[in-house]
Amino acid sequence: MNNMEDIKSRIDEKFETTNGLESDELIQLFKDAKELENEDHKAKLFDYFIKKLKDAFKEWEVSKEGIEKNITEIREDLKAAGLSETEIDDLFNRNEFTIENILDSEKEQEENEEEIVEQEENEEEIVEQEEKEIEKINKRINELENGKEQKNLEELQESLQKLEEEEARLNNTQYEGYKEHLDKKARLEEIKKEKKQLQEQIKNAELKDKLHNLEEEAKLNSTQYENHKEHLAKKERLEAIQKEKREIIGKLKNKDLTTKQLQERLTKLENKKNELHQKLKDAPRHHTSYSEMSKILVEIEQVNNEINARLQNSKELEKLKGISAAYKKIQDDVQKELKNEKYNDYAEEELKTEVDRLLNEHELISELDKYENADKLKAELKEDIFNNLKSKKIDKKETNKKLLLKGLAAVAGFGTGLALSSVPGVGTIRMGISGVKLVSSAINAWSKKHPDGKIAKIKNSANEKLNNKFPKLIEKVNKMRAKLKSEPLNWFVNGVAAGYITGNIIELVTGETVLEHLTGDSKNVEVTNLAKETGATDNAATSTDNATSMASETDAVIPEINPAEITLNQGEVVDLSSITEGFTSSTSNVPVDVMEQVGKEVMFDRAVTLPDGKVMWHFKQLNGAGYAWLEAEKVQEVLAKAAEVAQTASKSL
Amino acid sequence: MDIAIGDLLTIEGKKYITLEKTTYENNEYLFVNEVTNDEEDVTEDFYILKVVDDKVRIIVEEELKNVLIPKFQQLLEKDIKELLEEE
Repeated sequence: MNNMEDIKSRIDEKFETTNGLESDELIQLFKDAKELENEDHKAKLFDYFIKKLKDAFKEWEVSKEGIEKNITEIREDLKAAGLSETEIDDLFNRNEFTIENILDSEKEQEENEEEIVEQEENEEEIVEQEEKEIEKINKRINELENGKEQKNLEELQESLQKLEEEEARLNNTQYEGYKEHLDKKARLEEIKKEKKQLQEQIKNAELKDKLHNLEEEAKLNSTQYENHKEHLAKKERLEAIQKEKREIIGKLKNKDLTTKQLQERLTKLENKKNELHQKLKDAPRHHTSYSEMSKILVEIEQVNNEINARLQNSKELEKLKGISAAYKKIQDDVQKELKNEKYNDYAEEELKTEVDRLLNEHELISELDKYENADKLKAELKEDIFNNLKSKKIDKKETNKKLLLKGLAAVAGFGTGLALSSVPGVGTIRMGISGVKLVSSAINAWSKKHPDGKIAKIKNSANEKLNNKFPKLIEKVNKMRAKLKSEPLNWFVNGVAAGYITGNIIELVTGETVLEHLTGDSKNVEVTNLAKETGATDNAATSTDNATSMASETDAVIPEINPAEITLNQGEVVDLSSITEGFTSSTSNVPVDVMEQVGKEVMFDRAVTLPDGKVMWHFKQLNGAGYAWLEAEKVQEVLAKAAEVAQTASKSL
Repeated sequence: MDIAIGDLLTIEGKKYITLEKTTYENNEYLFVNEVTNDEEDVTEDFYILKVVDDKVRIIVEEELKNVLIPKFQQLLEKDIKELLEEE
């Protein structure tokens, strides 16, 4: 027996399957409904069917033609179930089941949907605009607060990462209940908004960072440029000063002007003059012709002129020596006067004024006036003193552990004990025991000459000897080397190890020479050594240009060159190619072969007096690399000998 | 300017690494090692600098150097020893 609920379920089922409205089933369904005794239920069922049908048309978006076709078919089915035309019309009328109504209803729904969509879109636009406004305000606030409240880029990226992680986690969440589903949906929306904001902030922060970097770079470039410009200007000026000084020193050191050479020349000329005078005296006796006598007189005149020129040079020499000594003395005195810290409070201009005052008040300042370009020389002296005393601005400060360790390694590596000593007159401080670079160069030279692995022999031998000599230290060094793998620290360790090898390496590699021994014909090369002049005598310096006074001048004592009096200035270039052996450190007593060809032009660097009184001089190559430590006495002998050779050369003039 | 050991200072185009610092008669002094321009290596030249605000002055006075050098020498020896003993 059919009842209303069963038939209703069958109607629902019919529409839910969406398999189409099969006529046979519908007819049976209508028949069953029609047979219900309760008229009210019967009507409700048919109305329910029509309502479902209307909804289905809307849901399925059936076209007009489709609706017409379906209505016709439904009418046929209703008829087949036994309903009259009137009943059918009544059913359709009371449910307003017409094509127009159905289509209007669809249209209305579409409009409503569109309106909803439009409304939603408007809302989104409003939200978006509001968000943009909020962002703008936030950005402005951040700008106003100069970034103080703005999180830095790293923090922002961290926040974004967290959000993305949360988003991924939420998206992966399954089996949530309805409420959880809504919460998740809401949170995802929030995350979306927050992400958008964060991405914008990150973009701003990146731009800000980039701008900051560009500004810093621009600032740095500008500073570097200024520094470079200043450096170049200074370099140019310093080079000019150095050139000028070299010229003075050159004049002072010119071998043609050495007093001894001058005296030799004067003697030679004096003899020549006497010879000529004698010829003149003997002229009547020898019936010398007038023309021949005239020739002798001309020759005497020439000799006199040459003597006068030489004497003038001698005076010039003395003058230049006086200027040079005065320059150094004034510099020392003024710097000493200003050392009492009081100039620390001076501004640069005040310091310049003070240097100027002390210069002008110095008793030797008039000596500088003897120089042909006195004003320039004074300006250079003033600049020299000022540069030594003025404070210099620290342009940049940054941490550099690698260089710290290298620096400490250099200090530690200079010997078994630190022996710092200052270079007089300048700010440089050197190690009393030096040679790390010398050893390094030696090893390089050795490895170039012996690319067959003998370098390893040196190292092994060195390590072996070091182990015997400094077992505890080497143990520690090796321990550190094993434990600390960082490159900078290894630099330190290697530097220390190299330093301890310094001065001992030749001893360590017994029987081997490290520095390349060049056997060229260095003994035959032209000697260009520059020896210190012993100075012209007062007699020579004050001699007149009168030829008649020359006889007394020849009595002047020609001082011998005393090697012990020979000194060198820092940076002075000499030829030491005749010295074939040197030392890798000031304290080493094991000589090594030196590169004689390089020794043709080496620069004096510094002197060290050892506890036993022996003086060692260090020389550098022209490129700044170390050359060797040499016994001062030996160098002085060589330089004195060179001066003798120069004299011999001048005698042949 | 607060300068620490290990600070690389650029002064008038030259670079110096700070190896040690000390105070003498209320003045701060640095022991520095000149660095090559490419910042790859140190040179054999060391200086004592007096620090006044953001400026430094190279100490050239022998008397002052004679006081400061032993102090720095002692500090350097201590630092190097500690570094060697560092585990």
